[in-house]
Amino acid sequence: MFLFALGYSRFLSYQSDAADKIGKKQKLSEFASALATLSVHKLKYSAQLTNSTTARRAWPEAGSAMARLYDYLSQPLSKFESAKHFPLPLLDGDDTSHLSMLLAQLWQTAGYGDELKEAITVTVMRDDFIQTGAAPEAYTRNKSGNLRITVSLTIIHSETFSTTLDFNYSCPVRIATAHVPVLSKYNLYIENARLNSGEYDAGYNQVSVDSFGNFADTRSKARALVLNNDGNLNLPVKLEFRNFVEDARGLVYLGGDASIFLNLARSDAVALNSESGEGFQFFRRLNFDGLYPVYDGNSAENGRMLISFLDQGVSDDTDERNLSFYRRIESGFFGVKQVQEGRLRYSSIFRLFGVQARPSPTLVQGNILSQYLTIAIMKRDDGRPGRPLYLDNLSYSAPMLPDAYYYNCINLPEYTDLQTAFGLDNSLDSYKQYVTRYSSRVNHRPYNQGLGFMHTQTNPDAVALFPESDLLNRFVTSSAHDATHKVPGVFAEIYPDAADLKMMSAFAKGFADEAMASYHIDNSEEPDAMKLLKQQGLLSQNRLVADGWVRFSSATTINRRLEYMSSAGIVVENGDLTIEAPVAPAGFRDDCLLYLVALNGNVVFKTPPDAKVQAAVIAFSETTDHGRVVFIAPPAELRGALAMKKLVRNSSEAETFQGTSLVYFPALAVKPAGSDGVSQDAQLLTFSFGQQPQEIR
Amino acid sequence: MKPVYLRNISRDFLLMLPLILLLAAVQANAVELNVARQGEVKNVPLQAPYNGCLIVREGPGMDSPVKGHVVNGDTVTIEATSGSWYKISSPLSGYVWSSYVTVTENQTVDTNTMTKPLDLGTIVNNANPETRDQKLPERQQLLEKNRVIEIDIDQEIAP
Repeated sequence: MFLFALGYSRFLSYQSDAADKIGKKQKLSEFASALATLSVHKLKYSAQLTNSTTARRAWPEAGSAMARLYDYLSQPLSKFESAKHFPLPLLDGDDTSHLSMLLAQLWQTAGYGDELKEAITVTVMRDDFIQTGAAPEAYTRNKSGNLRITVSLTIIHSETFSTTLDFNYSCPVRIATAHVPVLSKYNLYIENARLNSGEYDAGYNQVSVDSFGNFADTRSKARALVLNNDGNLNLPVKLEFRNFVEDARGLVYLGGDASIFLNLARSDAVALNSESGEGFQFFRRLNFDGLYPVYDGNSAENGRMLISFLDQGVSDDTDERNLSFYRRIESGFFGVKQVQEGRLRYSSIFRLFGVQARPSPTLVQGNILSQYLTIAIMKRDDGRPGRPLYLDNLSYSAPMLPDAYYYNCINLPEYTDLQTAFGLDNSLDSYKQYVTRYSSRVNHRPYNQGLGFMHTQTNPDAVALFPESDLLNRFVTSSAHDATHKVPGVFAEIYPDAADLKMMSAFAKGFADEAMASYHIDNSEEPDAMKLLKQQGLLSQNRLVADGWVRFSSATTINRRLEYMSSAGIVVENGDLTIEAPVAPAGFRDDCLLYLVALNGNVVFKTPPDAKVQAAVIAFSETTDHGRVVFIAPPAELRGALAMKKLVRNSSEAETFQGTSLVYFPALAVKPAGSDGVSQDAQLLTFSFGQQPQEIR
Repeated sequence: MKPVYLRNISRDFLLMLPLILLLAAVQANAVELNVARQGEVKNVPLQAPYNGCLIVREGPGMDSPVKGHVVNGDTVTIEATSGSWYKISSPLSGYVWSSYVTVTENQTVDTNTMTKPLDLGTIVNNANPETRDQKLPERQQLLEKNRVIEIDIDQEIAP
């Protein structure tokens, strides 16, 4: 009986010990789970919450354990080791107080003291990851996979005896770049910029400037889209094509199957900071004399004669300072026709190379020509005026008989020098030669020719600075050559099947890739993006903590100020993406960028006039009905880049176009990986971690 | 009867009169195009590589040697423009990138003429294109290349 009682007692004691052990282990497991959750929240939020004036983006404090993990995860997958361990102390470096408070509360609730210690380790295993992204060979940092989190709890029984238990978890992570291969290299990309099917496409010329080169809002409704192509890096014009491709500079593409004529805006020597003028695209000496000789001949009476040209932009100002230029053009047959048709009063809605106050050189691709006034004068070799001082286009009044007309024109006494020096007579051929070579007229040239004078404005032969052996020379001397529409340089290798820029769909993989998205939101019943983001826990006090790409299924509107904590993207699959408020990075995150993408719709701006938007914008559609960026009420500045199928559909829309300042985000110009396999797109990486750890048993 | 020398003076004066009037007219029309203006250095980034300093160079180009620097708030005298560069004469002479200089006042402009845009006549009268009459064939060729649309002149001038 005694033995039985002893045995039963020992059985009860064993049961009690076992229950105690199970209870303790259960408690430790729950404690470990809580620590794992805290670890995931640290991974997910601490970088976003770091306010670093040096990092300027969502990045852990330099030197911290998290920073080492981020650096490792930023690498291309090919650089990963088979397994790499990272200690993750929950209170590390300049950690945020909220985490330390949570940890203290957790410790207190669990009732543990010095007898328990925790150690958390994150393990990155190469086989747990796959490479993602639209062009993984070119931009090699995108990937998704799982992190392994080990929470080790050590129970200290005595100074010499302790027990350690490991609890294992996993956490999904998606690392994607807010960058779109090829298109991101363009500050402005328009798949089809043509407004009509005719040969002379000049419908963009709608913006009024005064004689100083300042915008005159009383005479036209249209406002220009002013480009700053290097994000204020002030990159100079260099003479080789590769510089434009490799510099942190946004290119311009205005696609279409024939020439587009863009009138350059007048600006004047006395208005050095004109906000709309484009006089910097013309030859000017330091004393503002812009005449360059083109033809010479010998006059029997006055010796050597020079015919020089002077180029000037267009203005619809009615003061004498402006009209004095137009008189030289209008008096001729072609000139009066072109001026009367209104082609030469208004400047274009584009300032592709910036404005007089801030020139911004880049390479313009597409069959684009700049158009302007060319005034011809004739002087003797010693600088004294010849006869005539200006070479007017001779007036023509039908129904004068042609022969009599030519005779009267060429034989006017004031043209004596012209005749003798340049071998003209009263024949039709002479008249043709006079009109097409020597007279004042409307002129045009490849748009990129302005780069020569942006390099050295004081050199009348600045265009000749570009070596003939270099591809850039072809862009400067022609607007239609075999490289006009080609994807340039190293960017041509990103999509081997997309050799040219003509079809935006060739690059659609870069922005339509569903695998890049971290969140999918079905919003067919609710267009308010802010409301939905808040419901998803991605928005807190108008601050977006998406840390990745968010896809909405239907049209949506950003109707309140949106500040993003890290680089990210908002994609609308069907319908318009409407922006009604400022969109900007949160404080100390100036190096972050948000992508705004409409896959089958338009991106519509209806912002307050003083709003600033820092975002790259893509409007795409498989059909021609959509894919536009519409500026109903544009922001004061758009910092990022623009890519679209079409900007305006016809000259009527151009007439009321409301432009803005488009400032390129230089990080978007990142080149694809070279032979080392490492692309330099780390700045725009987004780290999207799962919300909860998953226990691995 | 006037002495001969006075008659000669009167005759010479009459002969000189058109020239004097012409010179006076030229003087009246003369415009100092290379006019100085005031500007203020603004918005030079405080971060690297600027560190708040706007470099003054010997010539209008990034490759030109550095002469010194000006900082935000400095007033500079602009003598001329050269592309995206201003030629300045004070506080030190050289060229600066124009984006960070805002023209403030036309304090040094001498005449009202210079507060208004230049008309064609003023520019042409002060121009001396004969100093750059080299490379004429190359320029002609460039202009020919620019003519991308062939004008059907026969149709255009037909009555």
